[in-house]
Amino acid sequence: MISRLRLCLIASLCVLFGTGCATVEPWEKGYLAREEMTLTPDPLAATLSDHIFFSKEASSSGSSASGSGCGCN
Amino acid sequence: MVTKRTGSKALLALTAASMGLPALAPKSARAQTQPEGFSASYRHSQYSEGEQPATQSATGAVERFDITVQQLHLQTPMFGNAAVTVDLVSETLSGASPWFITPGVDGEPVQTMSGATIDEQRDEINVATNLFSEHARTGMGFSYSTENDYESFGVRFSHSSYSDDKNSTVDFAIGGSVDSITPTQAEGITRVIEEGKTNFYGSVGFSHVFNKTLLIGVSGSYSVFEGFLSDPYKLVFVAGDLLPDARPEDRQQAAFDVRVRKYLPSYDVALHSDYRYYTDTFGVVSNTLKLGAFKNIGSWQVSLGVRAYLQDSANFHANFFESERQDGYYSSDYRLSEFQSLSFSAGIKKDFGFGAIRLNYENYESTGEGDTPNPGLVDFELVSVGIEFSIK
Amino acid sequence: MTMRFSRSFKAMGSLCELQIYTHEKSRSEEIFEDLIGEVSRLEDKYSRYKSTSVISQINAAAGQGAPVYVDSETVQLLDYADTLFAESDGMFDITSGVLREVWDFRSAKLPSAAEVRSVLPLIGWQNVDRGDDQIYLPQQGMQIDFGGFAKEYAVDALAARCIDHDIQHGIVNLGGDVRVVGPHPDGTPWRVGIQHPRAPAKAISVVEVSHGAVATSGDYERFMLIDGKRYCHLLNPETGRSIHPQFASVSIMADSCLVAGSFSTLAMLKGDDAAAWIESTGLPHLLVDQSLRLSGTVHAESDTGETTRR
Repeated sequence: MISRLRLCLIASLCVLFGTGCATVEPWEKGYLAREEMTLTPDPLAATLSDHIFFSKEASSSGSSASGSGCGCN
Repeated sequence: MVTKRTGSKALLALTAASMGLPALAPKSARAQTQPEGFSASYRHSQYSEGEQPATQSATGAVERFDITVQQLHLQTPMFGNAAVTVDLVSETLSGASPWFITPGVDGEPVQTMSGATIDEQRDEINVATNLFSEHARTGMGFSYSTENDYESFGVRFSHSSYSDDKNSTVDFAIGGSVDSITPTQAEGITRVIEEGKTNFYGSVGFSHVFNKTLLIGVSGSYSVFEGFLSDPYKLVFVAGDLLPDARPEDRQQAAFDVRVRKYLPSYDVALHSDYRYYTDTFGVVSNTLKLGAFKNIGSWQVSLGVRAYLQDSANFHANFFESERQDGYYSSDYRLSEFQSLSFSAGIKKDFGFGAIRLNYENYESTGEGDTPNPGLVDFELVSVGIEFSIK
Repeated sequence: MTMRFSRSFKAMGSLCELQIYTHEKSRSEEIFEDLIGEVSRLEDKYSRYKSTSVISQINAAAGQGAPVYVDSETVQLLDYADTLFAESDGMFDITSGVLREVWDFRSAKLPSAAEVRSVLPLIGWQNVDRGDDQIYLPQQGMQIDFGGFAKEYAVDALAARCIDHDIQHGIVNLGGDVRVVGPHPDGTPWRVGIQHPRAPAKAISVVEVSHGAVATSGDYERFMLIDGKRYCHLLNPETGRSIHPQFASVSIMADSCLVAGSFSTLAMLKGDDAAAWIESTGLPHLLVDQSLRLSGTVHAESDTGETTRR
């Protein structure tokens, strides 16, 4: 089921971003291995930002554990 | 002599046998593997809100919140295939916050701030364990946060699975929290004594490596809150009376995220583009776009970012209410108003072989939208320094 | 702006060379130190000449009654050796190193039949006891060694580390076993010289490689000529006799150096059907037969007379 879902998602993202979907080999992952190419490069900063935006805006992040605390100031 | 076995079968067998060898694949191709050694990072941040301008304040210019945040993150591998992380957060808060809004002589909204300076302390601990296998990571974590008037206990379960080539990742997470609020009481003001709320959330994410310089992640999340969701300290002007802030007892939220990471090898620059759509049953809809650029110069890295945020107001928000509402819900909290915000950030990072130091600055400004913007909207600056190191 | 930096050193009994493109010299020095550290780690861990190595510990415990516990990297290398044994029908046997005790290639003298017979009972991977994370050689005098693939494994380990160091363009060469991290910054492939089997320090051919590995196995590594006949270091574990391979050398290209090296060795151990067998793997290859004729699927340039790479 997951692999089917995966294929569908890859296909739709390919259409969405108009990119080729060639398989990237392990030795081609040097750039992707860089910290700044990860989805969350600086976790502590991201946690703090989430917490601040959560307490200053109406849209909480919804999927992170950083929501704890009131933020009612 | 060997005759029976075919070369292609041997290739399959030997390739398979070589796949698991630890030194063979770079870390990047190993997806999220168990960390190799102990690592620690510490971050000290200073958050300061701009002062409430005298023109919009009932009591003249008022200093708003200043918060000192300290974060400590510790991670260590364990039992061959597991890692334990401990996160500690300590916040020291001081300042004043918006209390209620009344109509001024010309019908303009006038903000009254909380009278006394509030001094508070919040401490949080997060402990998580992750188990790593070749194709998956499974994690479980607990969090506890305490303030003099607020307590929260949370639990989180997450799972990531990777395709054979480690180019695709599917993430699932569910979690929840139970919070209790015991507001500080003040003479002459009626506040709730003790209330609670619960939260449950789930998220599904998918990320894929499209080519050697492009990574895209999409995710969707759903969250539901039940219980006391109002702000116990805020009051609302309703037809001449000041009533407590009153919000529905349940709130469902849904969000959709797209995150793109692109590397430009000829410039040694990584570009980030994050978009988020959010909607909830309070009637809030928001769109967030975040762009970032990271430029590497030897062991230094310079980063710039911009974040644009636009939100519609909740159904029951107004600066003040001339008449009562049928449903009895009222809030004049600036967070629930219609506004946009723009923030700019800059950072610098210096890598050492064993770790790094970081310096970051962010400037956030919000502007009200609609006919009469909420006067309580906040601007802030955030300065932080961080140090991290790891021991293999 | 990236520049090319290179470093030569001796390790694992071979001349090694690293070439990488990076921004600054200090960065390249850091990376070279780290890579050389990784080679030393593997050498210390798997050399049969170091008494503290995992291999020496396993060999010292042979016939002593208690198994040796090993870490997961060693377990996986032993699993790999097990696969090599199975796929070669016993020709690639990591317990056959004991034959070196009777084969002295510097003596220019063949071992006697009695000498060979005396060590044959100590050979046989199928007799080794293995548990999940333990290994036991049941007879005193039995020994294993990873000489058949440790260097190739090290090449892959260094290439992986280059990638972890953000190196996009570079090459790792440990004594002729080569792994390309990535082509030159302008996209042109690396030119890898293939050792001339009969003329040391001379290339018989040059192959172009943009990524992946090239490994060569030949009858020239250790040998002795007796009455005009070549006896090479490749020994048959069943008979204890030197084999007379059809090819003077076999070069194989594969994603990993470990797999490339294993197939070049397997091809040398094969009999007359080696060429067809290699063909059936689908791996690009270059064969040099005993009369130095080149064949195979790799587009190779003819003799350039030099081993250096562009």
